[in-house]
Amino acid sequence: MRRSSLSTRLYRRVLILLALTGLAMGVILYTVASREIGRASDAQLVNASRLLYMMMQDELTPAMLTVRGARPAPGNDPLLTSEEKKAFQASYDWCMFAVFWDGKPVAQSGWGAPVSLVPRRPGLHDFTAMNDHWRSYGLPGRNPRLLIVVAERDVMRELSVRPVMRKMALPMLLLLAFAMVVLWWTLRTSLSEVERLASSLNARSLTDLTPLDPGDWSRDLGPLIVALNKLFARLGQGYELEQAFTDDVAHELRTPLAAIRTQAQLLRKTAPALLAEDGDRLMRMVDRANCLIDGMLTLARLNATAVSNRSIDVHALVGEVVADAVGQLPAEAIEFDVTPSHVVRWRCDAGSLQIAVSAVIDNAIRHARSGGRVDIAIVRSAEHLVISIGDRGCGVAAADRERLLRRFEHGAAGSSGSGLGLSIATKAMTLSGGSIRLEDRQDGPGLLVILTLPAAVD
Amino acid sequence: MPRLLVAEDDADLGPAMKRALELDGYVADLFTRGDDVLAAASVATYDVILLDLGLPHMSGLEVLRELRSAKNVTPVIIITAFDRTPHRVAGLDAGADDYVVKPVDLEELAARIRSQLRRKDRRQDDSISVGEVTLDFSGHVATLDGESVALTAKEYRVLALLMRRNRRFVSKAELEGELYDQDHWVESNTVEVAISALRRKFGRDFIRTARGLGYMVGSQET
Repeated sequence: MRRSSLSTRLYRRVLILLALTGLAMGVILYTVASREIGRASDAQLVNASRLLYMMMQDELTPAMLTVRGARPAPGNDPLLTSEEKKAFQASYDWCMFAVFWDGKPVAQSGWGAPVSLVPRRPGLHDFTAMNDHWRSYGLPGRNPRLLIVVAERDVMRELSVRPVMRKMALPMLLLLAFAMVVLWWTLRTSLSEVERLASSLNARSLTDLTPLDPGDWSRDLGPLIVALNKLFARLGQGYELEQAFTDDVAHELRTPLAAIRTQAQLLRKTAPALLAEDGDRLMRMVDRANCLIDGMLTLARLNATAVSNRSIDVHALVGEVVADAVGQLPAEAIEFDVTPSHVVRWRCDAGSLQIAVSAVIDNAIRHARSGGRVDIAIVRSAEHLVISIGDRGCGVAAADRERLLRRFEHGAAGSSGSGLGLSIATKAMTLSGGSIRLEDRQDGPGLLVILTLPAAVD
Repeated sequence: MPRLLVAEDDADLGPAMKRALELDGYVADLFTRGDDVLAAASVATYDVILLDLGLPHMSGLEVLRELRSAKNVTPVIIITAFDRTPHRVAGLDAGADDYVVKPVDLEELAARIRSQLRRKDRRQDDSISVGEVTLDFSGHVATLDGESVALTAKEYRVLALLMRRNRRFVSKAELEGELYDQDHWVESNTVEVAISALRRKFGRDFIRTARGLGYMVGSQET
C-alpha cells in the first residue's frame, strides 16, 4: 500500500489539531462566559433584593409584621403598594420575591415558585420548583427577623448557545477556509525544500556520487543530507570495488586466453597443412571462451552500472552500433536497413541502450547471417521509444522465446554463441526501465526483437 | 628491418608474441618489467612499442608517461586486458597511438603495426590512412598500396570526409553538404556517382553502406 504523502498527513494532523484547539477554546470561553453571567446575575439578584428592601423601608414596623405574619393576606398588603410592585416589575420583570418575618411570609410577588419552596435563608441558594431550577438570594433586614428573598429561573441566566452559533457560523467558516488555505500554502512552501532535494537528486546521473553540500539546504534536512552523503560514499566505494574486481577478472581471464590464441595462430602458421584445421578449431574455441568472458563481464558491469537520463540521438547510437558490426563483417555479408534516416531524440541511458542494441544486433549477425539482412526501425511516440530489430534467419519458436532471454540459453540450432547475448540485452533494458520482446516477423521468416523504453519520468 | 619492443609480463603470451612477430619478419625484443622497458626504450631506437599495462615494478601507463615526457615519440600500441572506456581514455591521453584489447588477433596486430610504421614515416605529413588507402590532405593525393590514384575534386571531398570519420557512418545529406560548398549545385545522384567511382578505384569493399545511415570506410583490421 502506498503511504499517504507527508504533506497530506501533516496537513490532516494540523487541521485536526486546529479543530480541537478551536473546540477547546469554545468550551473554555463558554464556561468562563457562563460563570461571568452567573456572577452578574447574582449581582442583579442582590440589587433587586436591595431595591425591594428600600421600597419597603417605610412600612416596616415589627408590630405590623408580627400581625401580618399571623394571618397572611397575599395580594393587597400594605407592605408594598401596587405602584411599588409595578416599579419593581418594571426593573426586574423576571424576578419573583417573598418577604419573611420570623420565617413566615409577609409579602410576595404573586407569581413564580410557591412561597413554601423558597429557601428562607440569607445568601445565594439553588432550589427546584414547578419543574424549573431557581436561584435565590436572601437579604436579611436590619432587624434579623426580616428576610427578603428574590429568585429567578436559572433559564434566564443560561447563555443561549444556538443564536451565538448562528451568528458566528459564517465568519467561523470563512476563518476556517482561510486557515486551511494558509496552512496548505505554508506546508507546500516548507516542503518545497524536500522537493528541491528530490529533483536535484533526480537530475544527477547515478554515477555522480559527489556529496551534497549541507550549507545549501535548510537545517531540518541536515540529518537527511548527512545520511545521503554517507550512502553516496558507500555506493562509490562499492562501485569502485566492483569495477576493480571485474577489471581483475578481465585481466586474469583474458591474458591466458590471449596466450593460447597467439600460440594457436603460431601453430597454424608453422604447422604442416594437415594440422591447420585443428589450429582453426582451437582458435574458434578460444574465441568462444573469449566471447563468454566478454558477456559475463558485460553482465557483471551492468550490475555496477549507474543509469543516467539524458536526451540522446538514438539514430546516431544505432548508427554507431551498426558501424561497429559492419566493420567486423566481410563486405556485403549482411545488409543493414535503418529507418528513419534522421535524428530521433529520446531521454534515456545511452550506455545501457547501446549494450542492449549491440547485443541484439550481435545475436542477429550470429544466428541469422544466412538471412543476409537486418532491418532496424526506431519508432517514437509520446510514451514510448520502440526499436525493433528484425533478421531474416529461421526465427525462434514461440515456446523458446522466454527461455532465450535468460542466461546461458542457446537457440535450438546449437549455436556457437555464449548464450548471454539476449540475456545481456534483457538486463540492460530492465536496468533502464525498458523491456524486450521476441516476435515473429510479419513480413516473412525471421526473428523480430522489440526493445521498448518508456518516457523518462522527471 | 623494423625493430619492435614487446612489453609483456605473462610468461606464455610474451614469448608467443615475440615468436609470431619474428615470423612476420620483425626484430622483437621482449621485456617483462616496466623499468626494463623504460631503460631499453631510452637507450635503443624502436620503430613500434607494444606495451602491456599491467607490468611489474612500473606500470605500462607510467612507462608511457615517462617516455613521452622524455620527448620519445616512438609509436606505442597498448595491448591490454583492460577494456573499459576510462582505461582507453587514460591510455590514449598518456600518449599511446593505438589501444588493443586482449586477446588480439595476430593478423590484426600486424595490420596495426604496419599502420603505425606508415604513420611514423609521415609523422610530419597531413594525411590519414584507412587500410591500404592513404589520403594526403596537403597534396590532395590518394594512394592505394603506395600507388597513387587520380581523384576528381568531388571524389576527393567525399573520400576526405569518409576517411576523417573512419569507422563511422556519414549520411548522404552530409556528403551532399560537403559537395555543395564547392559547386553551389548538387545533382541528386552526385554522391552516388562519386561513391561508385571511389569503389571502382579502391575496391568494392572499401566503402560500406547501410540504408538509413549512409556510407563509411574502415573495418576492424584497419
